[in-house]
Amino acid sequence: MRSEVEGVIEQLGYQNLRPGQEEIINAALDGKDVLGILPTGSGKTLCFQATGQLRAGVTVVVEPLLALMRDQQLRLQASGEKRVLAINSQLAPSELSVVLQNLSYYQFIFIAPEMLTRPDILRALQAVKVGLLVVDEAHCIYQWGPDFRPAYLRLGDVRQRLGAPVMALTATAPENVRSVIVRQLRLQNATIYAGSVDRPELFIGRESLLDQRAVNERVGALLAQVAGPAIIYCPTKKLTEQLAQQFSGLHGRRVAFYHAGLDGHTRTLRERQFTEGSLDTLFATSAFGMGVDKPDVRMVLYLGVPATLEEYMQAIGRAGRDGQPALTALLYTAKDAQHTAGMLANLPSPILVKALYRAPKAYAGSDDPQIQLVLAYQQAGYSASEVNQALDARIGSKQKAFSAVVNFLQADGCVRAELLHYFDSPAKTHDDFCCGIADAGVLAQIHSEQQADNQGFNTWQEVFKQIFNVSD
Amino acid sequence: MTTKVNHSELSDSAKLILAGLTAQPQRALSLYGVLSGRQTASTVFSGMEQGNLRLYGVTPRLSRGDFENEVAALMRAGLIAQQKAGLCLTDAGAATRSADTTFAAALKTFRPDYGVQAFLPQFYLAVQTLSELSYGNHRYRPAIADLHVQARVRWWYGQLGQETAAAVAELTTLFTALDQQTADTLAGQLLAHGYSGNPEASTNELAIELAGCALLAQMSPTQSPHWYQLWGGRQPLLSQPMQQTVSEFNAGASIEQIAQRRRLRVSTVNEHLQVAAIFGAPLTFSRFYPAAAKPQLLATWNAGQHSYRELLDVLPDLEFMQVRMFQIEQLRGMQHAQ
Repeated sequence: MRSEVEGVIEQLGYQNLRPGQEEIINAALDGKDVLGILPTGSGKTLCFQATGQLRAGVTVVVEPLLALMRDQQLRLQASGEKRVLAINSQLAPSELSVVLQNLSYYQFIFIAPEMLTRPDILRALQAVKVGLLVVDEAHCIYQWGPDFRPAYLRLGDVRQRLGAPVMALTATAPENVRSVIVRQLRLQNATIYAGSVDRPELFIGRESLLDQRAVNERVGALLAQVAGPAIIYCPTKKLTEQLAQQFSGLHGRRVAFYHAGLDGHTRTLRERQFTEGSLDTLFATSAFGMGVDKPDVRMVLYLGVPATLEEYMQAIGRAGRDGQPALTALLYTAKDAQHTAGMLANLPSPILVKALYRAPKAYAGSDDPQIQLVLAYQQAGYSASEVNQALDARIGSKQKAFSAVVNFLQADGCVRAELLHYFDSPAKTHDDFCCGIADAGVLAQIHSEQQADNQGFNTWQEVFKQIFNVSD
Repeated sequence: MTTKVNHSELSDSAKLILAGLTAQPQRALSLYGVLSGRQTASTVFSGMEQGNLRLYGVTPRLSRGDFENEVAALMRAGLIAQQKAGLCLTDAGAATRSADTTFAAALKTFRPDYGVQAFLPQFYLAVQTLSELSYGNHRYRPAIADLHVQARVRWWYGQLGQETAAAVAELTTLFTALDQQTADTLAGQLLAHGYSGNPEASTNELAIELAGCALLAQMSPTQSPHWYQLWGGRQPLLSQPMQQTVSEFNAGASIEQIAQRRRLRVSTVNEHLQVAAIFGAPLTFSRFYPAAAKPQLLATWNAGQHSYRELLDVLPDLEFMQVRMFQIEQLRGMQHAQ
């Protein structure tokens, strides 16, 4: 490892790098364009964090979602880096104007692709030295993908104008998507690192069950048999609350639910409580996971049928980040499959599109992905009718993505191989801890360290003693 | 047929709806606007007439859909009724409400101008900052990502200087003044060094908000100067444009002059002045209606005829704004007398 890289990662709190990180960082430090495909949880953030500290100039990071931007901002602040800016709708016009005059102060600037392509913002960035342009979630550039964002298509122009090397990062990019990323971002002689998205330490479970009751029973059985922190992804908020109540205290588990209906601070608290161990079982919707770096999750269950395999991989990818065996399982019924198929056409309606076009500023701060999607089209210059046409076309790509899910559900033979084939990634050789239905033999291979008793502070007096370092 | 309902089993939104209503009907949309903090003249006037402006903005995240669902449920339970002029509390609703003295007492701590929803994130981040400092730790994931909150707390911390220990001592004093349950509720929300809240603490948003109000009620610039500085004291309820309108009006400008100068509609300026008047801004009411109309307006008002229609019937040449400002003036007087 280059000595300067070693120094920086140590400062950031790491001892060494994971597979792929060194290659990506070195290529970027050498001023080359790079496309890094690393599975969820394998440290994409550190790639640009470390590079950004070492390369002269500002690092501009393109993020498609406000929540991602917030998470990255907080991570950097946690590492001690204060010169972090997120350019988004939170900034009032007067504040944006001040910020644009002082961009050179910042080390890292996070920005949505729609804002990056604004003439005033581009001009301001051209006036400072941009050392690195990071395009996170680069697969959003793929027009036929379920996560397509039209503004990503203009990033090729942006990189020309900024004249900075590009680091494109994504967790999911089959071969055809990789070539689109390279072409659209105009990557030159790019270093492409495509790590295997396989996670050999994860058991890829898949179980078709009769009905929801059977699913709930199976969840209970697995919670009883597999010790250690667990995340159970549920398709609805209501189910998270119902199951959290049902399994509260089961075998001493410290259980809670998590969904977007909770206020922001409560969500933050539950994330930290789970990460730090005062909760060990979370029933959550897909709203949970961003910013949660917990290495010892021993089980992730996914209830229902996902709309895309990308979504599924991201969910189960939260298990076993410490490299130790962990159980993942998709538990579903025939009704779940029908339900997800029916939701594919659940895109912003023409009525919503009309409302957003009439008053875009009123919705600017919304975290709702549907609203953000329409605003993204609007900011990319689409008219309302063009947006409706584009959304109709998206239904096609969503159906294509779902058919891959159906193939996965129906595959005979090695489930892992079927899953990884979609991502053009090699799979480990099938063995007795690979995939299918988790039987006693599989569960016996999953171990969890004794969880420390929760050091609960119940009164404010006890809390203050702890938090303000008051000795007895 | 209705079944007996235990108030404590109702949702917070349902409890607030019951708390806001009386036997006098109020339009559902107006009640919703009061509870969620909608700043239109018709909403706040309705709140003023109904006497429920004390609950203004108590639940800003309440969606219209959820509100309507709760109203429907309360009607099914016989606790409220729909009349021609709006929703009103039934006898059963009044009885159910008054049975829950704990909720009523907690709700009394709420003040619209506390700005408690804006204060709490600042409070959490400020406590975290002091906590990490007490361990000499400068690398931590901030509890709050919002840049405005971070900027505010950064400023406040800069103002503290060497007084960080004093700020901790002040906070301890503030918490000591609270009852144990309220203090524990607030403490359970903190994110700090070695502590990520109490997983078993209440996550009830309203309960937490009211606990925050109880804390703010203790604060004063003399007894708790550091935390008072973070809070900034009671927050103006009027938006900045509204404050500017009041300022210009009090400097002598007419409504038309203000509208022209700031390129606003006259109706917008009227809205500003109505809302400002309802929230207690000092205004010379005699500037709004002809002096000659006052005796008749007063006589009608004192005869118990308070509605816009009744007053206009007596003086049909008056304009809406003139009658409305008279009504607001009288209602303000009645509230002060109470």
